[in-house]
Amino acid sequence: MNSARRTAACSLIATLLLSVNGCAWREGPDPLEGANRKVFAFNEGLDRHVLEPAATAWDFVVPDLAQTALDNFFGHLNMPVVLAHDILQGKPIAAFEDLARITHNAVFGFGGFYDIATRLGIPENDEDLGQTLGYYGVPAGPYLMVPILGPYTLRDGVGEIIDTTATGYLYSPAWQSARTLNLDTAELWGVSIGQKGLELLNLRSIYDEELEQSRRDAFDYYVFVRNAYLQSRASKVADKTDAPAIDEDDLYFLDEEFEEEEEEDYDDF
Amino acid sequence: MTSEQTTQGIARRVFTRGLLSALVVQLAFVPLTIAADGEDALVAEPTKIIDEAAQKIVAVLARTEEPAEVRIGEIEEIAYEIFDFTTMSKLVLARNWRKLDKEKRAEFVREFRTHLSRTYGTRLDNFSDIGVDVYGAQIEVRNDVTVKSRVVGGQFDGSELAYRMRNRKEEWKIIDVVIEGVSLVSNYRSQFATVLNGGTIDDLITKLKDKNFVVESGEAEAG
Repeated sequence: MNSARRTAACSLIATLLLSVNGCAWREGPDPLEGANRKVFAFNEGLDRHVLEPAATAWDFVVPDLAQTALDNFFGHLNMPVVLAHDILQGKPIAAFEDLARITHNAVFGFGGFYDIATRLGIPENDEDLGQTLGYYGVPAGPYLMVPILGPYTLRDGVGEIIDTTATGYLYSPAWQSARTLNLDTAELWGVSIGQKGLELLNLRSIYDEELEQSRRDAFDYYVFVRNAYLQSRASKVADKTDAPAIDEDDLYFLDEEFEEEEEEDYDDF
Repeated sequence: MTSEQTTQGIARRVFTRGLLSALVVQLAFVPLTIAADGEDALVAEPTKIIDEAAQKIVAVLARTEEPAEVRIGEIEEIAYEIFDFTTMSKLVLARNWRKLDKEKRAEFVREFRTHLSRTYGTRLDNFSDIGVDVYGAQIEVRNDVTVKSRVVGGQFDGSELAYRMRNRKEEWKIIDVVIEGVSLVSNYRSQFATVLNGGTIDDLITKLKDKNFVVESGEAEAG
């Protein structure tokens, strides 16, 4: 019964990905721009009125060191998912690195609050289901601005839902035994969402200044976020941080007409 | 006694075999090494330019006892030497560059340059304890060179910064900065395209000027 339902869900997702890929996607990276901009405006309002004050309060109450420790801990909790995707993408070296990272931080890093692995020079890998699907050629699909959660592509959003569910199930025995609670699926989701919320709040307060600055400097903040998100995800799928991984062949080529005027130079004004 | 001798014997054998295989490996890779040397020669100059500038800037950033304006001035001076703002402006405006006359082009380059140095040169204290490790370079299409570096220490420890360099008029200069896979040129190009889609180049230049003015007056207030 359960597995049948799972199969049905999987095929639904596949159909969704394929159908979107077949039609709307070709019109550009953001076929839903109108609706996305509305959600973005909502998220910005929410951030200004709820998240930012909450993050400021959080920043005031929680010392920087504790924020870093908490960030390390959330990173540590997420590592089994990363490890699974190292393996799914056939990256044995990354898998060994991340296994070493998990064990070192669990044993010598006070259960993940201190990142001793980085101190020891063990590289940190960042993988998730969206990247695994991308690795095997599933296109990103349309850009989606999700209420509260922010930017996603269809592929990466679906990936995140599945990864989060898997993490919830992975840690449910720990929750059950530690609290002797008998959590059902809905409550498990509640725990996952609560954890995600705390993680985001903490992250929001760590990068408060950067966020404020990029908002102030942007010419169109919606486009700034969209471009940065799509570039960042594409570079993660391609495991390439030294050049733009996004499909933009003409990025470094000047218009033919420019070539004749190659000599002109306005730097000395 | 015997066991020690055996151990030594094994050690010697392992050592000799290791030496031999090292030699074989060396020989096998000779053509490769030569090829790499050829590439090394091509990327040597741009790498050196980035490395020197990065170390100079890191040194300026570390002098936290000095006022911010002095240090920003010094960093701008270093940056103006190694950035090709004209090419960057052409790239971010793409087809729209063609529509501008000489005066507008000069105005745009000037304002864009101010914008870049003001937005990326402020808030120095977050970077006071960083180092930059320039660890590699590669040749790209159009004979560009990408110089790769990594931030060491501080809040952004481990962040990857790549500099795309182009040789124009016998000088290597930066035409794009790629931060963790996100290209500045691509990001500005997409934003400017949206602004120009709903407005004129004058609107864009006005926006640039407004932003530069706000940042400058904000600095004056802070200072």
